[in-house]
Amino acid sequence: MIRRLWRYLFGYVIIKIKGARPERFLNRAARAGIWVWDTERLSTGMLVACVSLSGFRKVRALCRAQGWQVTIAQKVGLPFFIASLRRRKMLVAGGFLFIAALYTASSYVWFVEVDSIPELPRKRILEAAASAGLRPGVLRYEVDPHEVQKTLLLSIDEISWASVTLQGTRAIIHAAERAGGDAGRYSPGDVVAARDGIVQRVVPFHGYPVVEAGDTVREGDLLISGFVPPLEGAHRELLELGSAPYVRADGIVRARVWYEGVASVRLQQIDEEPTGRTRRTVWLGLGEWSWKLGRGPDPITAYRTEERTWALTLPGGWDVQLSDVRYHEVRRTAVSVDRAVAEQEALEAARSSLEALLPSGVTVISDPEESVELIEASPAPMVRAVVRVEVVEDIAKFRELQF
Amino acid sequence: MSMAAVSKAPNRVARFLRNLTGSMEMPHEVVLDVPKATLIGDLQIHIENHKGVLEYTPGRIVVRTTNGRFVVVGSRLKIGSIFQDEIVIEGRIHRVDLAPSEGSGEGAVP
Repeated sequence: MIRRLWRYLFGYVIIKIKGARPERFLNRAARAGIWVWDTERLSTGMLVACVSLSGFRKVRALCRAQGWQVTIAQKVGLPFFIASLRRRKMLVAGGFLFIAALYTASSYVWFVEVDSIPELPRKRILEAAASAGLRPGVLRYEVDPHEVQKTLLLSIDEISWASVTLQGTRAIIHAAERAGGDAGRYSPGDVVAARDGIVQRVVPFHGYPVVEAGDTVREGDLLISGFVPPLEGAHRELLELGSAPYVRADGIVRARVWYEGVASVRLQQIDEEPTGRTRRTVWLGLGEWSWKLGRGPDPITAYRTEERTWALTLPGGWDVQLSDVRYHEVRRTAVSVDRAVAEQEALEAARSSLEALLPSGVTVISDPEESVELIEASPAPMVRAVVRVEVVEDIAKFRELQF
Repeated sequence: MSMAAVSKAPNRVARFLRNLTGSMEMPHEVVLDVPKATLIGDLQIHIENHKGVLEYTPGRIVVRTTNGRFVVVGSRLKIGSIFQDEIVIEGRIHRVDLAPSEGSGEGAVP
């Protein structure tokens, strides 16, 4: 292995020797101190062998003296490789340029990632890091992880611990939440109604309820107030502490609420039957301009369109768009729908839209109340179905106090 | 594989030297300039103190030594490397013979 490496470093040639009794060449070479290896007798008058570069000069003189013909079959080794590179200067320059570009590109931070629980304000963490000099595009050695860490801790209250690691071209900010959660969890405010309804039960955890069972409330109405009345001892205590006499109201307000699913079906429907005639237009768009290639549909023909679009953004911000629009001509015929069938369809649709509306975790307390009515409309009358249910749910919603 | 050892007619000096190296436990190939052959399986043979190659074909390589001719018979034989005193023969070696030199004409290195 070492010997092979040595040979490669100093270079050698594979030579062909032609002449009578080529084994004599081996004896002469050995006697002359030329190291010959990997010889092979190809035919009676021909021998292939490897000799070092320095040995080859002596071999040539030897062969010339003895009348043997020597030719180089192959040049192997580093000296020849370097010589070949000398002839291909641009290749070498390209190689160096590539290494330089790679080195330069890898000395920048390209990505800044935040590794923390989703509750922490990712955007603010990134902004704080950017203000401390860590943003995509900065040089790696210009980033001071301690400085970034300090800035993060000072500017974002919710963070109790932060660290910055640089992994190649990626900077990862690790942040841990302060025990006890975010500051907003303790900000004062009221509990208001999330929906219209009739209050059934009020369970205040904090604050002072302003509604009671049986009250009708509209969305946004105050349910539990965070304001501490002046007669309460806490009112004065809070004022003495320099805070507003407000607590963070919290509680459950269960109320009867109605949900309604509505759907309409026309008594006359339009059937479209393709005639088989198609037209095709290709639109080529570049930035704000677009060109039409090919004929569009006749203006009076009823058609259905089928569009396929390819979009590409060129360097420099140019948007190139190619749209292939096919117009399939259709024959439209009005089909009247039986009223009973239409009503059934409308009810089905109203029921499914109601199901989609109902939030999970509510208690339905009434059977669905269904009604269907006929509405005169143009071009054809339609039936409108309404499905209504009554449910009981918690309508309490916290609203932060706005000063 | 058979190996026939044929020695030159020893003169008195040679006999003395041989006895001396034997009793002193000195390496014969160094003191007496006799060949030393090392066979590695049937793949390779190193011959030290050679005096040149007499014949070189893929089936047979004949190497001259002071003790006679080393005849290596095999297939795909080739000379792996050759130095002034050492020769390495590679290939599938079937047999190695040590034959006496046949007259000064054939024994002489070309």
